[in-house]
Amino acid sequence: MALRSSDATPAITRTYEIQKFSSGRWMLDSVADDKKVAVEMAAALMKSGRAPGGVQVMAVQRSQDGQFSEVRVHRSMPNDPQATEKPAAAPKVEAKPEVKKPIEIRDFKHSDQLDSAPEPRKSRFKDLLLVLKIAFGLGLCAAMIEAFHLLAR
Amino acid sequence: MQNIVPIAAAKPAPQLEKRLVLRMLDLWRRFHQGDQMPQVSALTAAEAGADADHVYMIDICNVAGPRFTYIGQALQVPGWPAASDALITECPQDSVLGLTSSHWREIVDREVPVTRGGIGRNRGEAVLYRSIMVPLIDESGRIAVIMGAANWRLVEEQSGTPIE
Repeated sequence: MALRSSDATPAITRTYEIQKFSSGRWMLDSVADDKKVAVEMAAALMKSGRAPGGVQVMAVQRSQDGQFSEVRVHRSMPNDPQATEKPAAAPKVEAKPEVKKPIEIRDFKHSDQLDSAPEPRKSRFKDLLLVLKIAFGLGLCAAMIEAFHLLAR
Repeated sequence: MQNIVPIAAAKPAPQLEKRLVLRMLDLWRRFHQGDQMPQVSALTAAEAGADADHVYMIDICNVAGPRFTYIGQALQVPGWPAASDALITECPQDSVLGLTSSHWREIVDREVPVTRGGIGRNRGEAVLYRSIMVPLIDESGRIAVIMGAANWRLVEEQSGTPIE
């Protein structure tokens, strides 16, 4: 294994931001330079006495011209089991330097503005729409059957 | 022959976190006051307990530049007489202390703990290290001190591939 000195490379191109879901928004909690450590830090945060509503780890990649891209590599939302992702579910991000999300141009101090809409609300809204559709469909069927009976007489 | 049935202890021993960085992060979180970061007066190196030997403190408000106010025994740099009260810029870079403390500004800019690791040199040997720095605030709420911690293990250096 060839050894490389870390002090000779001051510019980090990729970091992992541990973010917590608090007061309805994602906030930066801590930063790591290693994915495994970042996921462990996120897990430790959820186990701590000050556990937030959820945690996620974002792989943030910066280019020299100030552009950055980010990809979520881990998420844990205790109140929404569907939103919990296992760390093993994101090996593609680690293996591929390319990100799937379109590159965004923003100030790098972006931590307070990320993904302000939590997914659980979206899924609940979808569920509600589905229930309404089913109810409407059943009502329509009942009305048609009734109409058929009336016409048959 | 008498059978001896093991009886579970009434209180299990507390499970110690394996990673130093996670222990330090937990310590830092425990000293939060509401949404406020721990204060300099509350969280000292002594609070780290057995990890205090791997801890250092940096006063970033010093007029002449950030300086060490505490350096744990394990992080002391042999042949560097200055030790505590020395400026960060004077710290030898071929030491874990120098490698890890040089990123102090990132903690001030981001206002969150930052962990870093990598390969470097310590006391003339190639090491794989992992470190963390956490911010501490003064009475006015301004980041005044950075608490750092680092540990490492030796790595084998292949002949012909010296550390750059």
